[in-house]
Amino acid sequence: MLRRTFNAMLAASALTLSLAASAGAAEITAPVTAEEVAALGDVTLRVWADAGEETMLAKLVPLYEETYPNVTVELTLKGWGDLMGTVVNAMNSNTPPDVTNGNQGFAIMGTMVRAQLIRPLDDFIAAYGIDAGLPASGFASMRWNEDGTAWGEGPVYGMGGATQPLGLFYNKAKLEELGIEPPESIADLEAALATASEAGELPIMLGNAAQYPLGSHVLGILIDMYSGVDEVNGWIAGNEGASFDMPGVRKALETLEAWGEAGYFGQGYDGRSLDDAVAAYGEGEGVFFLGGSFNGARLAAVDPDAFGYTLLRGESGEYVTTGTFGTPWHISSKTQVEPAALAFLGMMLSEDFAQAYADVSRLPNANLETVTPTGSMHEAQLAAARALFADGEFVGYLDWATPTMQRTMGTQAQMLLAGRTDVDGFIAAVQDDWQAYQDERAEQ
Amino acid sequence: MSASPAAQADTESRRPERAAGNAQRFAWHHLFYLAPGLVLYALFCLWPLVQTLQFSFQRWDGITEPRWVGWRNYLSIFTDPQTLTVFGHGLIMIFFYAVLPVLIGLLIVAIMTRVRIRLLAVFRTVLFLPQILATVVVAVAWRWIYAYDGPINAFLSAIGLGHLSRAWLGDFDTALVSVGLIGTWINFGLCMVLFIGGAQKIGRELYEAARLDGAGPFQEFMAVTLPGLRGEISIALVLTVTNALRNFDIVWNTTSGGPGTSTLVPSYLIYEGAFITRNVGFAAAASVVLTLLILVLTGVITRALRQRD
Repeated sequence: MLRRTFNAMLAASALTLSLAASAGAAEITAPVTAEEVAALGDVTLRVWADAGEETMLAKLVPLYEETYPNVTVELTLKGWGDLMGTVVNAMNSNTPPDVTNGNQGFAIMGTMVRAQLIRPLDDFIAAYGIDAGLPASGFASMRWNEDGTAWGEGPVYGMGGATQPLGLFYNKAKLEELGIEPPESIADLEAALATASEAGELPIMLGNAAQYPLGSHVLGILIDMYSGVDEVNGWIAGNEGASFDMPGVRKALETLEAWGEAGYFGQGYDGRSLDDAVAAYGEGEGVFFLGGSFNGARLAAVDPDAFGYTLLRGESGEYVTTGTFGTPWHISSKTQVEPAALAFLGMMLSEDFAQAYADVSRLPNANLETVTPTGSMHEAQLAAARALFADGEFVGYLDWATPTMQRTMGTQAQMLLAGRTDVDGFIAAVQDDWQAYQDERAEQ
Repeated sequence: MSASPAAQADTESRRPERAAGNAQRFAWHHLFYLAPGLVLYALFCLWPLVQTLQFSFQRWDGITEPRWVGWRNYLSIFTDPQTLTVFGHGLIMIFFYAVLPVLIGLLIVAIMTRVRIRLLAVFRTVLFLPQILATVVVAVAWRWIYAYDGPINAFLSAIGLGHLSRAWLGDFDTALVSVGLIGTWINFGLCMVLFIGGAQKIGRELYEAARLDGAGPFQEFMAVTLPGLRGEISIALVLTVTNALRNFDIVWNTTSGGPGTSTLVPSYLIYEGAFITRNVGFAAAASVVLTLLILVLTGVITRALRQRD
């Protein structure tokens, strides 16, 4: 009986899906008009978002409700971990959010594409001109094949509002004290770290209690420095025959290990939370901070001019960094208010709204060239993002590779720095995780 | 449950007057009263249990169609050294969450039966407080206590043991013990309150008799207090052992299972499987194993400490 009920449920949901798919099949060729939204009558637009989007949405929602007075936005904000744990099931329910934040990679976006829970956005992007002036490589992580088993090519299923490249923050006053110029390349950084360490300063502020960001962001930046973009992205995407045992990865791990041995991360970083680390760095502890540009908003709130930010040129001489167009936004394939949902994203990603992102020290994809910064650090971040968009390259996040990779990398990085594994052991553990998942994908 | 002895007494008292057939009708009558509870229990407890059992034989991402994989999920639990270590951590937690709190609780009671303590109510409330506090609050407080620049290390430096200072939750050698001791701190108040209640039921004459026989504090404790607390110890152990094996919130809010995998516990593995890595089948299998483990352990405890009248 159990089995039968279950099959019946599956059949029912498949039916709903196909109905929804046929209902939402209408592609748009021009931006949704106010009349089209008004034709929906009085409706509610359900939106789920990461808490990091709160300040942006506080500006967007009133503006949107003013423009489309027949729509009421029902906003649900969630912490990142909570959002990741619930968004897929919510999108699978009968009353899913119409618009939601998600995440790249197999576990979240892949599952939603496979189950046909989200609407392809190519028509929307073309109609609103969202991709104008943006590097095509930034869309790779949003493109999926129809089965949701491989990304990099296929329709675009999501789009973010503000880019978040990983980069290097530096404390301006401390650099001046130490007589160091802001580093521009990995070689500059290595020299600066040694100088800072000799002078008795904490070279890098790190808070890794949640096994993050050492094995993801810090290691990610190092891998970007020594590796080719395509080989790393190919490995993350699970291309056949790819291996984590690449010379660039090896060199990055050796560097990380050496930094640990030299004491560049100081002591007690595995017992300090990332939040505490950002706060301590804001108060002047530590010379450098390696991480996502999104940490800048908090630092700018402390003092908009005290810190600098830069991307680093890798051994190839190019700006290479882990990053995306930001946390992706999706539209449910089951939404009953599609015009309202499209209009919401259209407004959020428009050039007219870009300054609202910039006002909270974020880096909007739209109008990146012309928005007004909040201070000198934000200006440096904007410059870095512009340089990246102009001629740099995006590398994916390593943890997209498999659903368990975040844990594996985080664990291994802590072990590497504690001397409990070596570079070979690290690579083997990561590749084992990767291989196990590729085997599983092949079965799907 | 509590209705059944009363019902029995009721039936017996009426039996002389009425035919035996009435007893039958009475049973149905009672079932009727039980029905709402039974329906809720079946719907929200038994049915999910059956479903979990079913999922544990599948490979399922929680959304798309599941695949039947037989015993594979169970096999990977019992063959993967990593998973076995995680269950091992769960067993180690029993020492910190159950054994230590019971011992501390007994020690406090042993002292109290000899020495009159002023302001007992205040004392009891303060020691019971950790039980009431939200575990997130407890975790955040202890994260600060254990931090590299926290009070423990400050104390160590002050007494000239600065070389021992470390990030207690971030060190491979001390993280598991540090997390465990938070559990001890949370649970010993519960044990103490249970034991104090139990000790007050032990007759004073037993203590007087023991003292007349020349028993010292230790002998008195072994001969009078400990046997008198058998039932309370059993309850305390069942509660705390279950608590130990289910431990999730403290780990989640202090170490996230790290450093490395040194504080990863079964519940954390289950959460990750069900919500993060979307391997619901494996998470279900781990839940089944964990449930069985808890059932067996608590069964053994209640059996071993059963009151023999």
